[in-house]
Amino acid sequence: MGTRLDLVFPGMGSELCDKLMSQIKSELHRLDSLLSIHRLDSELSHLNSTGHAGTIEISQELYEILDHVKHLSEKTEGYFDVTMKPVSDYLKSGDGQKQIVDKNTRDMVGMEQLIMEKEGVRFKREGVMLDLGGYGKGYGVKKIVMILQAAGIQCALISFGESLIYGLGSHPYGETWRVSVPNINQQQPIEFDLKDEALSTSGNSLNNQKKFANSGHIVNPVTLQMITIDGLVSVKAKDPVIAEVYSTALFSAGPDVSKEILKSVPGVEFRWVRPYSNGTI
Amino acid sequence: MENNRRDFIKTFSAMAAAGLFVSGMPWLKDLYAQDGLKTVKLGIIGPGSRGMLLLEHLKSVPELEISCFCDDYEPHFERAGQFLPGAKGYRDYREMLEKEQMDGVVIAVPLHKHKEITVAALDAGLHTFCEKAMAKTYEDCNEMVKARERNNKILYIGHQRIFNTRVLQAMKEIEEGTIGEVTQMRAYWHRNNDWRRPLPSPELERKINWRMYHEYSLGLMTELASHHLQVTNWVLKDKPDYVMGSGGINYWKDGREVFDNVNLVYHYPSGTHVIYDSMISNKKYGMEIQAMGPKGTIEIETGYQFSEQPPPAAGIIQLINNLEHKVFDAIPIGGASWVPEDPSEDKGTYLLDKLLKTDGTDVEMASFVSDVRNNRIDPWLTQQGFYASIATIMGFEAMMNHRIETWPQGLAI
Repeated sequence: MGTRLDLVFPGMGSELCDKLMSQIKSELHRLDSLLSIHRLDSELSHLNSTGHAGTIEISQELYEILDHVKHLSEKTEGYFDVTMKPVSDYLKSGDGQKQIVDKNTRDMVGMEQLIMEKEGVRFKREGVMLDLGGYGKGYGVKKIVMILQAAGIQCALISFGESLIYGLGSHPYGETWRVSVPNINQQQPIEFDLKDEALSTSGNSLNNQKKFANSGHIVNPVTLQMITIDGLVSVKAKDPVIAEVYSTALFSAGPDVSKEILKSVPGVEFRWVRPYSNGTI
Repeated sequence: MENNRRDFIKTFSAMAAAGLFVSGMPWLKDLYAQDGLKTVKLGIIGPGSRGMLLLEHLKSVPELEISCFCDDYEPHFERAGQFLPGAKGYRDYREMLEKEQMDGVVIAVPLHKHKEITVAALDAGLHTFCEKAMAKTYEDCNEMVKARERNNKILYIGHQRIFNTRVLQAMKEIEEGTIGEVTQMRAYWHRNNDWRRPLPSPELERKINWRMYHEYSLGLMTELASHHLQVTNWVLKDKPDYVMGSGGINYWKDGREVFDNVNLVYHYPSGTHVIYDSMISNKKYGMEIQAMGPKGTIEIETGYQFSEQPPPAAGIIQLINNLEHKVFDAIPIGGASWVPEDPSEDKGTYLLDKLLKTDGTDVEMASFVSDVRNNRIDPWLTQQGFYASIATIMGFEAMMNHRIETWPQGLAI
């Protein structure tokens, strides 16, 4: 999945740890072969390359994921959109200074490009490309939690690429898992208490400010522009998929629209870790 | 002198503590001995700049007498005489070898004279230390080996990395599999100077700047690359079976004959390659020998180790530390996604305490004296110099003749 996974199991013996790690690795490899766009032989890659030619029969699992993705896109008023890769590729192409996408690229994007049918799914046109990166991370953590719970583990911390944290149960010496997200300059970090909850953070990090000064790395699905502001938003939710999807969507939507979007999602807490500074949303 | 001696003991003790006295390095074991040592008597041939450095190190070795020296260049002769009061000076090495009673000899003359003097010293029954590289031709290298064998004497070739604590520690890590099987090595040696020495008068050009001319030297190959090729052979436990490469003079067009830049790819029978280059018109990257494997990288010259597995996030390390100390605290971890394509900020891990930074020449000289004293002959040491020199000459031939140069048949120890 192109990132690093850190797992902390307090007090666990090495035999059980090895056994669980083996199960987790095997599950993540399976998900990679289902959802990765970096593997040509994954089911999603197959759909991306052939979906324009007609209805493709896909696995039940991928079908359900895509159905959920469509649903979440509607719930976030279009700010979560897995069809943005062509826009991102276009804006980063050449000298990386392009501000506005051309019509051809514009026509390739939008969740309406994905048609769900009884027999399978298809794309409206050639060039459509689904990238389930963020959703896939949340889905992967969800599966890890299921493996741990099935093994009777009551206490663990999962960090997927450091941007998605899940606290299973609580810290052995505390009531929760307490996570602090770094803030700008010398300001106090923002703390979150997690207990069987996930925390996802999206944005342009301080470390990457220079790298993203001109290009950013997240496309706003509504404006079809790179988000170049320096900011982070963290979302806490029971479901790691929801945390991951909403942190991405809220970063695009900005603080005001975020409140509106979250009105219909109970149990989700969000904080702007860093306020917006100059840049494009 | 006594301070140097104490430093020696300190260094060796630290090396032992670091577990460096491993099997295969027997020459290090008895360097502690301080009492009841038999005095070793050595002579030196060629106390020029490198020779004087060797003498400096030899001076701190206990129970050693440098009884004679030889140089045919007057300023060096006079300087050596001042440095070694009481030692007898010669201008002809043959006379010195004939007249002096000694246990061994240290040779630090220009490359083209290595074979002649080394063979003469060995045939005179002397244990011999000869500076690297061994010689300019395959045949000369082989003759030196044969002379060692027929006289059953010690022959060291001056590859001090064999005795360098950082290199020894790197070898230990590599042998223990820290970076996995070594799948590629890269080595480079970059300087930014004309590589010339000042001339007292113009007619001494070829005598002083002998490194510039093919009659005396193979340039960057024998003078620098031979060191790195010794290490790559050592790491890969083999010798290259062929090499391809290209060299040229693109900057120092001052009448020199030897290349000012060399670029080579050595192939080893395992399928592993050593990519080597050297230049003297830019020094940004300095020098390094990199051993790379599926689990990590070791930079041997600077003694750093890097893991292919990125270290856990700092927050995770802090969490584990807290758990071990039964402390509940916030974990500083959230942020934008870590992605493997981001430039690594891993500064690596230092293989040894920085206090042990010596280039190994001091240990090498002490080891030579110790081996002479104990008549301990280790053909492996000669083999290291031999194989490094053959690889060096192969690289030179490949570049000069624009062809793939293979390991000369029949050359082996």
